[in-house]
Amino acid sequence: MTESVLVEVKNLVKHFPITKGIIFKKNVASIRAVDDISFEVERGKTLGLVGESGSGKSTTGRLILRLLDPTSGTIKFDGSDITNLPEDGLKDLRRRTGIVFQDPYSSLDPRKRVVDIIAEPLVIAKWGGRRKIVERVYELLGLVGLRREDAYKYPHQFSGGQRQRIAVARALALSPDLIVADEPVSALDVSVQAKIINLFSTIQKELGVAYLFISHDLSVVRYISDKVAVMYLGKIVEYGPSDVIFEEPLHPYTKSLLTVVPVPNPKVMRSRRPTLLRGEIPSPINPPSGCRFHTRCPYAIKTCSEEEPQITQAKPNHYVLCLFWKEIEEGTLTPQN
Amino acid sequence: MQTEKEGAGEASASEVKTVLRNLRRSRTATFGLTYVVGLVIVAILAPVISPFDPYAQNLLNRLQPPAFPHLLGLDDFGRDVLSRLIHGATVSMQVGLEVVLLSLLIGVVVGAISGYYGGWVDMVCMRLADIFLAFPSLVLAIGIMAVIGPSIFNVVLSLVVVSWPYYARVIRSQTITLKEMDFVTAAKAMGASGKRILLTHIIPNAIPPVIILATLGMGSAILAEAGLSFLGLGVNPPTPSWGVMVASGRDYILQAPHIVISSGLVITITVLAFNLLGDGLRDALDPRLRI
Amino acid sequence: MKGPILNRNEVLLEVKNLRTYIETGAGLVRAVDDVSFDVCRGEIVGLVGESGCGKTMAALSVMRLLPEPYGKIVGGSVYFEGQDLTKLPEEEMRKIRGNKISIIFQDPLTALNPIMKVGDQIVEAIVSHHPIDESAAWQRAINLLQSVGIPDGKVIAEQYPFRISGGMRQRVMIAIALACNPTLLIADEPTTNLDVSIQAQILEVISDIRRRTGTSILLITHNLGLVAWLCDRVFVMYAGKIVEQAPTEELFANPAHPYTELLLKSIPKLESSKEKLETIEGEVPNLIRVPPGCRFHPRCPYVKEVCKKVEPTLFNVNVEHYARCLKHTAEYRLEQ
Repeated sequence: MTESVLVEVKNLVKHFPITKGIIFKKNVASIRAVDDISFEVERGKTLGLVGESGSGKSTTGRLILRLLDPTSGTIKFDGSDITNLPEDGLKDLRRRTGIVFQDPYSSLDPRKRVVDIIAEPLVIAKWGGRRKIVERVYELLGLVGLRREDAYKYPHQFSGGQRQRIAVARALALSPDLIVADEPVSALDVSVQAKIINLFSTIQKELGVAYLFISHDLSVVRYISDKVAVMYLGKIVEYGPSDVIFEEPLHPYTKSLLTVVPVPNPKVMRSRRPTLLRGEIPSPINPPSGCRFHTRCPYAIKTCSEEEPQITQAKPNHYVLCLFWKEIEEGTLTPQN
Repeated sequence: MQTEKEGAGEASASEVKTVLRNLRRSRTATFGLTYVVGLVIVAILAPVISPFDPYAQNLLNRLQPPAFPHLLGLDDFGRDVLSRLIHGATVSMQVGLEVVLLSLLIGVVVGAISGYYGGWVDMVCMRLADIFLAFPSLVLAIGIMAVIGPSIFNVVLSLVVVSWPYYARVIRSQTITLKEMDFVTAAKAMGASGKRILLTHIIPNAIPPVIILATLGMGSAILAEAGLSFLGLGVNPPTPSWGVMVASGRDYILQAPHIVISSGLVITITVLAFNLLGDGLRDALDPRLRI
Repeated sequence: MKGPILNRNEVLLEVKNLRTYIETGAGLVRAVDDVSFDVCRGEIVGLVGESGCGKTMAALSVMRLLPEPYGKIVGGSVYFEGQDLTKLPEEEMRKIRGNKISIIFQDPLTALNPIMKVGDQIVEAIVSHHPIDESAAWQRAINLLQSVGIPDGKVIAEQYPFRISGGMRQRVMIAIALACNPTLLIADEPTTNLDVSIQAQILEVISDIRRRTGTSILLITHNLGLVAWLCDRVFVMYAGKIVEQAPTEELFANPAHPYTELLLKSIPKLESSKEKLETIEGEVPNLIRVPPGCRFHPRCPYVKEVCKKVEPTLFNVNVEHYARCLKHTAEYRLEQ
């Protein structure tokens, strides 16, 4: 592990048991939300985690912050193993990480004033006296582009974009090394979204904080990320530098997504030939055998339903989870109809 | 708009002011509030403001209809009805407040813990609540009273036993919704303890919906006390209680309807006032509706 | 205000100077304020704008489905196949709704009855306008499901809404909307809650409908990507007004209103990365008290004194291309 790595995740697994019965609980099945994934978040850099519903991207974010307990695998934060630390051993992690959610309406306690909301992490960490904390809150408000007076208002007095700024200020209170941002701009209007994305970039430049940026929006992920991991049904199917993933995708899932994302450019839209994925996203309770993507993959052949692919390094720094990426790349395997 | 103020944290006096101002916007809530405040004052000042001794009998003029100086007439022992109503307010308010506060306290503790921690704790607490809820509450209260004997304290005790599960249920379901909210997850991510999350995030947000239940509960506790006293299981005569007054007036409903009417009306209006106040409070307490 | 190319006979829906106001506790919201747009036969038209711009209220006004009793059409007309819908008695309007004009909404779960089989809901939509016998209607329901890309329509028809996925539900909603072969389909944010790969499927269904049946489609959306994908013409709404209208390619190539221009620049690009995103200063105005002059002037980077006083009309900037911006006047150009 090199100096530059902040979070190192290896073979991380999270299964949620589905139980039956009230007193004598019986595990009848499990939701395989995250199933053997490995990745790294570098200091001061952004890893984009992109995927559709059921891909396990939000679960991954919560696992890294130890808001959920992993089933197996290891998570290292700044070199120390935090995978199995009990809650009272997590104080250091809690101080050094922050979280921002999608819905700016449910992420702020409606009965607290902004000053109390932003001060909460400082109060919990016993960061300083009341006066010092209030000063810090003012400083944070300035950092996210809000005014001092805003400290004494309630969340409902702000628009969605401003509330998201408050949430960012709270996440930054203790100058963390890592912020997990779970769909932070998905609930916002286009013009507001741009402002919040810019805020994230500026803050990273100024404070050197690393982001795990979770989103379903490929354009946003491309814009903000240094590296990208594409998730599908609990697996990372492709992982590498952002530009490489978006310009030379190897996995059929990534390839297909990039042809169906609507972009505001009629010329592009009319010239491209969308590869529609057939069918529905399967349930993570009973994921397909072999390669999980085989039920929807345009290239899938019989082997794909039998043999489970392993993540392989296809090119330097570029990893892919596909049995036949090479054949697809060389054109020897073509879409089945 | 609040002006800049140092010292984050303490629930300020201005917050109470805002709630009151919002409350006054609704005419019905204003009536409820005024009536309830008036009743509290009457209950406290009863010995001072009641025109006559509520126990003084005037057997010669028993059942006298309303006339000066006995504005609401005399009862079957020739006691001044108005004075007895005023003293009855003390009993009613005392029973109402004690029942509501005690059941609220038990309900909040049981409900919040049950909802937040879940698992077997939740199982035990809620099955216990179910057992109490399965009985018709007044019948259960009558049963308890029959065993422990009539007195004001026992009235309160039996009513608390039958009413805490309602609060616990509501608080529990509120807690379950709230603990999934992102702001609670955010607090966990900051390293907040379970106790802190319950006390600063969950309970303050879970209480407001219960406020309306509590004000309604005031009304029904007063009504239940009257009912128990009416049945002879509550406050002992000659202590003036509205229920006792309806009970004793019942025998003279044709000759002297003023006894039943005045005490019955007081009970009705009081319960109504509490309900209107509860409704108004629910709106006034919601910061999202504040301007 | 019609371009020279379109043939008047082909106009299916023509909304003229529509005003829809909504009474709220805080005041009168002028949600739709003198809005005109039109949809020709076989055309897909986009009505695009951010939340609160009035696009949904405009659509609901066409259907006369405004929230009672607070929402009211207070002026203007809605000509559909030559007849003014705002003047029709409710009885007549009901014969048009779901029959000649259908609507699909963003959230198909709340739009479907949870305790009724999917097939029965389609049958209901069919027989409420065209009384045919039950088994024929059921067969038609299955055909409709197949036509919206559900090959095993027979199986799905027997399901309850909560048993099927979000994408499937939206297909069912579309099947219901198509039950009576409408001439106009209004799609209000039809794919906003769906995953990208499922959204693509639904968009294919929608454009396939137009290809097969020639149904006109009015697409209400906030997503300019969808507009670029599907629409022939676009109307951009801001604060209760149409601020720009143009054929799709023209609008994206030469946006003539600063709002459209900035909006396009504020979207992160999939094809290239990393230059700082443009943003629009300030917030969307409250529709109870709109700014005087041009409604966009407090946020506009090109603002001049004249913009604060004069309310712009739609100026013709190119063939079929109009923008509500004073930049296109001599007065603006002359001001220092």
